[in-house]
Amino acid sequence: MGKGNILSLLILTLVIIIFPIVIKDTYLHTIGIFAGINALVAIGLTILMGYAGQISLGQAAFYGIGAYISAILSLHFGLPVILSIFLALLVSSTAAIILAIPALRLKGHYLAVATLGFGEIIHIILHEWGPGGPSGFGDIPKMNLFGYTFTSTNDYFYLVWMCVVVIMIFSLNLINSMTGKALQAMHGSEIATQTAGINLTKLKIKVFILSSIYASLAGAMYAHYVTFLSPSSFSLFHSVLFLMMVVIGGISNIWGGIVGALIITILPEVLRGFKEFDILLYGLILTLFLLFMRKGLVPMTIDTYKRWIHR
Amino acid sequence: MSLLLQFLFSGLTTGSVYALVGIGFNIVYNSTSILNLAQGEFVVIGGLMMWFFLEGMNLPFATSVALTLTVAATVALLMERLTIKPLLKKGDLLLMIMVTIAVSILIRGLLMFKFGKDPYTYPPFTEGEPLVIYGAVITQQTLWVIGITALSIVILYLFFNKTMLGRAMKACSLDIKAARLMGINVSNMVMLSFIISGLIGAIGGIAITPISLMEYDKGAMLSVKGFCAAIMGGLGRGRGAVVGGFTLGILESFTAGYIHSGFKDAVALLIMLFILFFRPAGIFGKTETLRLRKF
Amino acid sequence: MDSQITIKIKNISKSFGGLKALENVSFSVKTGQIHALIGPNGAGKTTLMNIISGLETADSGEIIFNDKPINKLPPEKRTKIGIARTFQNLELFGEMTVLENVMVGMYLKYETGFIKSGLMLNSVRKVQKDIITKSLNILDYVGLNHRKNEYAKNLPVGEQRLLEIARAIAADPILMLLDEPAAGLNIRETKNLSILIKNLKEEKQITLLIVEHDMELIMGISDTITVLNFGKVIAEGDPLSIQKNPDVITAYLGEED
Repeated sequence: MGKGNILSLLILTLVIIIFPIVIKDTYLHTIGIFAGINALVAIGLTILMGYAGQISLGQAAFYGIGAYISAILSLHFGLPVILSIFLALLVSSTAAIILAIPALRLKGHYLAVATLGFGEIIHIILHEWGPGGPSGFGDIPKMNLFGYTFTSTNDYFYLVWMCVVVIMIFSLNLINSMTGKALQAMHGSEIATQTAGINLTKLKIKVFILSSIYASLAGAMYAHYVTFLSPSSFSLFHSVLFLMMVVIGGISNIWGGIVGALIITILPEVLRGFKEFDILLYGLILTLFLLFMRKGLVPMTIDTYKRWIHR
Repeated sequence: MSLLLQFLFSGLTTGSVYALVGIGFNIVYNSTSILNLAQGEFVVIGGLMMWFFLEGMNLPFATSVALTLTVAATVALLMERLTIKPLLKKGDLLLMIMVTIAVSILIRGLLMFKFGKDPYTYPPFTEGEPLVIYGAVITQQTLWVIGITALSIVILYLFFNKTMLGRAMKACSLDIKAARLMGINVSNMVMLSFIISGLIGAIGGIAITPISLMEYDKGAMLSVKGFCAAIMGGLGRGRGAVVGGFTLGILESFTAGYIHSGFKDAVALLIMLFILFFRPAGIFGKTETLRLRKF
Repeated sequence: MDSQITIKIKNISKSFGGLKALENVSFSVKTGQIHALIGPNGAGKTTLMNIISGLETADSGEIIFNDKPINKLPPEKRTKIGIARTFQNLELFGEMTVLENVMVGMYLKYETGFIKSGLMLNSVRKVQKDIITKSLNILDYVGLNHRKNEYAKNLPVGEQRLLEIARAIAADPILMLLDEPAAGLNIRETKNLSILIKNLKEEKQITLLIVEHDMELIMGISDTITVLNFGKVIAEGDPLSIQKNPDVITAYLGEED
């Protein structure tokens, strides 16, 4: 891990610690929690898309699997929350493998629609067979770790963002390791990666599992915070939102996931008064970014900074 | 028997729209190797704009159709010139997929801003007694939808095979380099392919809205189903999408009728995944290796 | 069984939609030799390279590497047992640095796994340091050390070709396939390349199979030359005998002038 990353991690940790102390508004803490949850998904998607070069339009499905499985296990089977989350991650990984084995032979467009199709099927399953059907279900146990129940927003904020930091450290280590280089290599040239002795299928499946685990962890954290779930939170539109976070933050930099998640989470709150505009605005922002700011905010900032230093 | 016939006709009706969207996918795919995930939005544009001109502004039927098609063609043209053309030469697949998604959300956002979240409809093209065949009731609009679809397919066939312009487009899809050497303006052909696919989507929307209401967010599912129709017939094959579209429509209608209406949408998704995973050349396509073109 | 033979191409045929790219091609590459494969454009040389490295499958025939048939092995396994290659069309990881390109070449020897890598265990850290040192040595060897931190896509063609060779060396191969390593190089670069190839053979004991159009280079470094024309082997021998072979002259060398 380079100096820049360590410094960024320190700053992030500092901001996390200070934020609830300085800002007392629970509403803002709640937004912070959602931003952190989204960031978990976005970090995984950045690794999948930006580093490994695979696309997923079904990330909301893994998010949904994490949320639903963990909620159902803890609510209906009375399992401890932590165990429910762990099992949810297992289920989600299994789903990722089942999807990945046939899907990852597909390239580009085909992978995009295959993951989209998978996402929509999960959505329909939640809709038809999930507890409460389309209207969803509530009374999901609050997060509970080692006998301590997270009831205050303040505490949960810390918990979520601690997860983000841990996942971030893990991901940065991964990206900077040989495995990360192999992922990047695969993005650059599949043929050369293969003839360098690297098993593409294995690598792709693993990175798919990784991103699904991040997403389902986020889903579980969402479920045990809001304590109410309905299928509408896990639709195609949410997969597209996750995609937007990655594009806006910067697909080639893992920090982009966090920045994108913050922006996309805060944006609707800022635009609360313009509810009929929001989809239009999302479309406009995504289009403009793809056309004119393809690299995304974080890499662009780094480039500008470098240029400024070299002057 | 009557129930079966009823489901069959309702399947053919929705299948018509899937076929039109599927053809749209094929036309754009052949000229650019892009899957235009905004394809379904043009059906919604067709339905909602038709309502706007016909009911909202009380314009005559023919004028409304003409204006609706103009709007759809303009949107398709703008989409191609402003988003596809600048990015196409970069050859970045991820980027192209995302930009068609972005445009689809943009269109959806515009439609929601203009029309809100309510469903819209307008009277059938002709008023009259429905046909009754073996106890199945077939409205006149159903016949209109199927007829218009059939006519569109014939016109497209003639266009691509009998006119110079259509042949030039076909040449581009077969071999871009050769087409360029022959003096064909490939960029214009790409633009034209977007306009044509936008137009036929809108035609589908205009025809179907009196039967199944239209609302701003129907586009995404229509895109998925149109794509499903296209790959059922083998991506890039015009006639394949027609067979695919009708088959999908009928399967959906039977699923909704005999099993459970909630699983209607799952049919297309499952067929799509099955084909992508196991039969990438399509169910009705020849088993020759599919042109899994990169760029 | 001839232990002196590193790879044996046995009756390989391959056609693309009725067009025969390779027809019953057989020859052997002796251990420790520089073996050249030449022939006019479209003779099927690159196709054969792809079949040996596993990127394409032959319609019939067998590839025997170190006395074992390898037809069924996927490309990455073939690299693992000692067949590395370079590409005519340069398949570098453009968005990665020169050093990283070479490091990826070493991945197969030091795979660390997702969890270990994510936790950055000490063992992983040590391996990584090791890889960097070894990669830098290889860059030194091919003369690219001064470029180590540049993006591969920013190198001139000559250096990109060297980088491909460096990445292939990183896999520590027994046999190295070079597909037109001199294409796009100037005279000085070609000269350096010929020295490098000879060094690979003599210092690193790597057996080489080279496809190349530059006749001067080929005649200067090869121990054995196999000539392909329209998918068939038309001659084989040392450089001198090939230069004199009338079939070769009409099929190939004649056209060059």
